[in-house]
Amino acid sequence: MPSDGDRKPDGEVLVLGVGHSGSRFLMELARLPASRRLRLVGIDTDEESLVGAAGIEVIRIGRGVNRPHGCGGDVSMGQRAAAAAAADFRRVMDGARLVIVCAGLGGGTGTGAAVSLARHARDLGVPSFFMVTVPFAFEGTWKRTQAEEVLPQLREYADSVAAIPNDALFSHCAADIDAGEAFAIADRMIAECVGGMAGMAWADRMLSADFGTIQAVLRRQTGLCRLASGKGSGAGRWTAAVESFLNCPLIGSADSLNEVVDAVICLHVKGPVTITEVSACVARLEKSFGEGVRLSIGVCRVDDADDDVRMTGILCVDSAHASRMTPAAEAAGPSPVSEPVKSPPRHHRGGPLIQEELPIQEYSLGLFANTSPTRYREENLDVPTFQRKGLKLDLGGWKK
Amino acid sequence: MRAKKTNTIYTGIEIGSGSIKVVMGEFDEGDIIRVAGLADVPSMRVLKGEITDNDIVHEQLVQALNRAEKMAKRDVKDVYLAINTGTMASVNSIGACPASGPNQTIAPKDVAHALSNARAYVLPPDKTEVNTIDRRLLLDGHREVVNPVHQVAKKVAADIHLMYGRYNSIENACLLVERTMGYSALDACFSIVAAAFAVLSKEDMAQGTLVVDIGAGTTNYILFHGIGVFHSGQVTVGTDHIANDLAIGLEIPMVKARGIVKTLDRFGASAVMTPDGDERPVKIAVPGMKTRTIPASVIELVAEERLKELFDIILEDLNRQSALPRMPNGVMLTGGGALIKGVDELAHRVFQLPVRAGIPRDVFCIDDVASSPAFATPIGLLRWAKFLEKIEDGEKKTVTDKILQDVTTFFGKLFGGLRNALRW
Repeated sequence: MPSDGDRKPDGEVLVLGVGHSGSRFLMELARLPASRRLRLVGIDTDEESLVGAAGIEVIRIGRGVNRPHGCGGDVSMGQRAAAAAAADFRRVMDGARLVIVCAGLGGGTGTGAAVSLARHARDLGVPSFFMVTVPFAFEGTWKRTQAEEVLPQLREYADSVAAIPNDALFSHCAADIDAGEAFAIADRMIAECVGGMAGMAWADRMLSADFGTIQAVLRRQTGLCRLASGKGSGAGRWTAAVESFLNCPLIGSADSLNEVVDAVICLHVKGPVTITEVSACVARLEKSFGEGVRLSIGVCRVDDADDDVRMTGILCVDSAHASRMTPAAEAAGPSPVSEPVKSPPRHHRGGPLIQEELPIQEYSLGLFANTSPTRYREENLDVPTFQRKGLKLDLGGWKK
Repeated sequence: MRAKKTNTIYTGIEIGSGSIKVVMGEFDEGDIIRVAGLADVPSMRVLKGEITDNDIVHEQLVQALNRAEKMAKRDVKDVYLAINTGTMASVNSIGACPASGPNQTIAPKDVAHALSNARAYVLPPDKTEVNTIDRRLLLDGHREVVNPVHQVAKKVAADIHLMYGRYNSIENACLLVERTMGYSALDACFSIVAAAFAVLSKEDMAQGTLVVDIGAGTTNYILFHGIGVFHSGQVTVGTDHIANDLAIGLEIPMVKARGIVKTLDRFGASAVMTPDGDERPVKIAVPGMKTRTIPASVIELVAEERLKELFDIILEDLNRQSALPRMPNGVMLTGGGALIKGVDELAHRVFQLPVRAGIPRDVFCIDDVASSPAFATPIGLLRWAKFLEKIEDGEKKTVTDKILQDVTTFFGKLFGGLRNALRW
């Protein structure tokens, strides 16, 4: 079968790296063979960022708004910079087939510009996929709060958001690994996922799942999405690829696979492929996911890959599992488990906004009036249950 | 590093929202706890596990310690503290290591490295770790094993369960004990871990049992399964919430409401409502107020709604963790809340699993007071203390314990403490 390796899709796949973390992902992505067919654009407020980076266009934002060395973690500064660069954003995204935005949340530029980019992509009708990292637990409550506040807004506009906890990225690194090396590994992991996903756009497909399937999955908008990749070479290439895919730290634990409701997995294979190999691989993958998952598996042939078999998957998680904080953790405040915030209900585009009637209720706290409230699912559990449920107590002959 | 124990009598202290409990006991042959001294002083300034007045609680703790010493006719020397602040939460962390043994087998040092990687999890600066217990050991990311050493696999992953809380609250409790005793507690452990140690046998732990400790201010739960703890959590709702609901609903003082909750059966009521209207009238007499008669079913309704909501929250959390298939042994209820009539029936309705009262096992006490589910935590502290001592003394000599020895040595070097790598 002839390879269509050089075939270009109708529109380009645009990868935007926003802020310091986004720029690092782009640098790593630029080193991969897959990047040759991608348009890589870095967006940063830092004048020194991405200077001299080959194959990456750079958009400097925030001139006149920020200091020349970035936003210094100030989200409002990032928002102002993004607002001033609206025309640049629209110009670069217009006509793209897909926009993949990589950013680290919690800082100034990435957090401030992410929502703005999502809004422009939606207005232009370009599917957008956001791959964002959530700060480490040790980076403190402030950064985490900044990240968690922006996630619901991002989900409102983006087609899909993969929020990856930084803590998860490093779970497989040795505890004594050099910090620089650990970050490089994490950046490479994300870059490989992005490269693999974008590669589906032009690969020579042998089995169904194509780029349209990915777009359809992204459009279903389950709110939480994970990316994973795996690779294998040599004799046991298929087994190695499947195992490394299933153990990818970006997925979380093995239990996380049970929460997946929609999955598109694409296998990029170099060289000849036998039906036996593919069916064994598909059977192993199906076994790993929970029952009822909509699994689309595609096999593509690529000639310019580094590895014999490379797997990339987009896994959409049931919204019921989107928030996995324990009740105690909710009461205690932000948890060190980097889990995404549950997205708010989306408004229908262009539909009327109706303000629901808000009932006025009288609540009593009694003994717990001066304590920290016990909150669970936006309810204050210190308020008597019967009051919250609106139950009237039948006090018999007394107080009728 | 834990301080060294100096005598054979163990003392457990629980500063709860309902009462401050002190238990002094020794271990007989056959691992039976012989309770020498015991005290239960009502707690006045602890709400939802948080100490609101250190001075008052200090006085009450002194009172409780004096009572226990008087009963035991001995002085309290080494104490163990149950951490029961209302800020507890848990998180799981996974660390992995590729096989380095011959023929692609897992070597003991691989397990130690995987555990070390898992332990590299960093908590936010305002949180502090209380206990870390193994959760699962996985080969190649999915195959759960008890002992991974010498097994053929590409890698081993250690999944650990970390229980933590707000630093200030925990440190406050520890300093209060230090201020009272003049020295710090030998060790502190999450109260639900202690409660589980009191009521669960090794078989119960391995097969999968959920322990729910319903206290006055908080409800803690823990699921032991396989090699350790699969999940734990806390809801800052307890029996005080039932009393508060009754106080507000029936317009009675909190003291009276607490009394009703404690003696539901005396009113012919239980935690499960029987909708029989006015058929079971209950007289509510409050000094200075006119005696009223209300239906018992109203009290039941208030209690049932609160407890059902509590169990539903726990069930939801367990479901999120896919934990239900891991608890075939059912549920054990401990704490003062376990004494409420009908609470087991209600828990059974929610969990759809066998539910029983968690009575401390193998305890000998003169008037049998210590055999109440309400004393599970302080009794469990004694077992916890003994357990730590066994690990330190290296009594265990099974194959898995040999690995544990390697691992603990490794951790000893890394963290300077043995409680960082607990297995049974």
